[in-house]
Amino acid sequence: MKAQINALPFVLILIVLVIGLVSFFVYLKTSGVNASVSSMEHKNFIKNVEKKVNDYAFTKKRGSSEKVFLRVPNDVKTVCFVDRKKDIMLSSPVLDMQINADSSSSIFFDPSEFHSAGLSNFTLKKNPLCINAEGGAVSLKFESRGDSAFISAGDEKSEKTDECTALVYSGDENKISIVFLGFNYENSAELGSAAGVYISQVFEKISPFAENIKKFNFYQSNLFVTGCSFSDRIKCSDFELKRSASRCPHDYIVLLAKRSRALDALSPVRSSATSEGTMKINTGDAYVVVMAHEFGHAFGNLADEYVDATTSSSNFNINDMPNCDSVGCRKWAGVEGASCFKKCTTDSFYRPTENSIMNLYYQNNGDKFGPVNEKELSSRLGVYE
Amino acid sequence: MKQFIIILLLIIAVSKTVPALPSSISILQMNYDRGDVKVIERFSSAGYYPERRIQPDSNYTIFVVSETDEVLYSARFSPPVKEYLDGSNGVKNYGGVRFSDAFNFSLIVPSFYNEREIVISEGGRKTVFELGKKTEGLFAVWLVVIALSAAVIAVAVRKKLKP
Repeated sequence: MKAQINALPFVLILIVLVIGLVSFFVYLKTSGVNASVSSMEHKNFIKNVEKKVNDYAFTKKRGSSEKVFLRVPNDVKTVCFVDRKKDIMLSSPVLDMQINADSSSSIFFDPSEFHSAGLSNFTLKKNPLCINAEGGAVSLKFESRGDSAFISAGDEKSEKTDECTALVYSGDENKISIVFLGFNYENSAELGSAAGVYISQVFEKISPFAENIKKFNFYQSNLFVTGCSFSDRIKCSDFELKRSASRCPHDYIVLLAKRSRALDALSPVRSSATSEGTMKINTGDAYVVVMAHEFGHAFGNLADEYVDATTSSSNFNINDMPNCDSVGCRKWAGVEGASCFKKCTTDSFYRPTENSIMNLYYQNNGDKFGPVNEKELSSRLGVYE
Repeated sequence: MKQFIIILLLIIAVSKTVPALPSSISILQMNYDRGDVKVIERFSSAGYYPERRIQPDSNYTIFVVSETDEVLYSARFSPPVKEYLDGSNGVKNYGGVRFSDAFNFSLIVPSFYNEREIVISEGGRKTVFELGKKTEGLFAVWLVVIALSAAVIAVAVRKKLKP
């Protein structure tokens, strides 16, 4: 009797395992059926789109249009159309990879397990055009343009936002790519406008960036950063910043943290930069030139030419600071327009100009880097074409 | 899976000549503690990594190493120990430099189909982060192993209990 009681748990485990195996087998079979249904729906969708495109390209009267819901497999999240005859803009890294890898296709699916397909005789509202599926269907609008069908989203809300937007594009190779990220922004358009101010007021205006503007590409990541906070500075998870930045080509990262000027006047928050290439800009700062100051740190490894009482000189190595030197200022001897003024980051170092962007950037001559800083920045810009 | 690998290989091949193309990437969550740097976690994705055309004058180097000990990627990097802080009220600056000796930070590096580990080298010191194998499809194998083990145990117990 005692022996029978001891064996019971093992028998129960065995029963549970058998039930588990049977369930797994049933799951495999069912998923097989689902897969064949999905495959059929996928093929049907492509056929239906082809038919509609041909109808509106060749048969229907010019100007006529129709909104349709086309069934897609339940697992399809997004359908993207690409017009190969026109310039293709950045959209999302996954789609960009698909587009580059499969140069003959014009319809792509997310997830990419659903094969892409070729399509012709169509034009798009934007290129690429991605539509989110809802309830196993995508809403499309077809319009006859004479010799082609014009495709747009049947419902504008279902149009997928691009993960990356090129703000200023100068070319692919050997460019400095700067990506703008947003915190506290309502939408991509608002972030794009804010980034545009810094591009036009700083990069397109201030030397030596202005004369080298063709070396820059500017992008905006539409994957907004969350979880940042304002104290005396802007605090964010570096992982979140990098995750958002990874949506766009980037060498340098600029987080625009939206804040009102009124609030900033009451409770000031400092912008910041690391020499590793990440900048956080408080948009509530009345002086947009703070962006140039932070880029001087991040790109040029330039030091502050002002002195903050809380900064201790023991932490600094003068060899790491191209714009600060010890007495005599031998580092920039012979540089035209450069001199030797006391105070540079600390009381004991010397700076090349009385004022510059790396100093009191809101006062006289605070809108120029000065000859030594410009020389350093120009030598780094020389790496790019 | 095979198709994915072919696509990945194509993209890696093309990436060498056209840097603006996206590729498979690793976003690394890292920790810096008084000079020691280690990888805590890896997040895989499709995306872009910085070209690092200008690399810092730093002792830290990151390597992505293959199954055959080949260095697939390397770059010098500088943990963000120093952060410049800047603000003003239009009359004076309230800025300064903030130094930290322990913090988390992240790096983005390319990811490869045959990568095995990420090595951080600093001077003579090395720390290694093993990149985990994918566990897809292993569930069924484990289930069979557990079921067989349970069956063996049950048979053994029954035999032992027989008079």
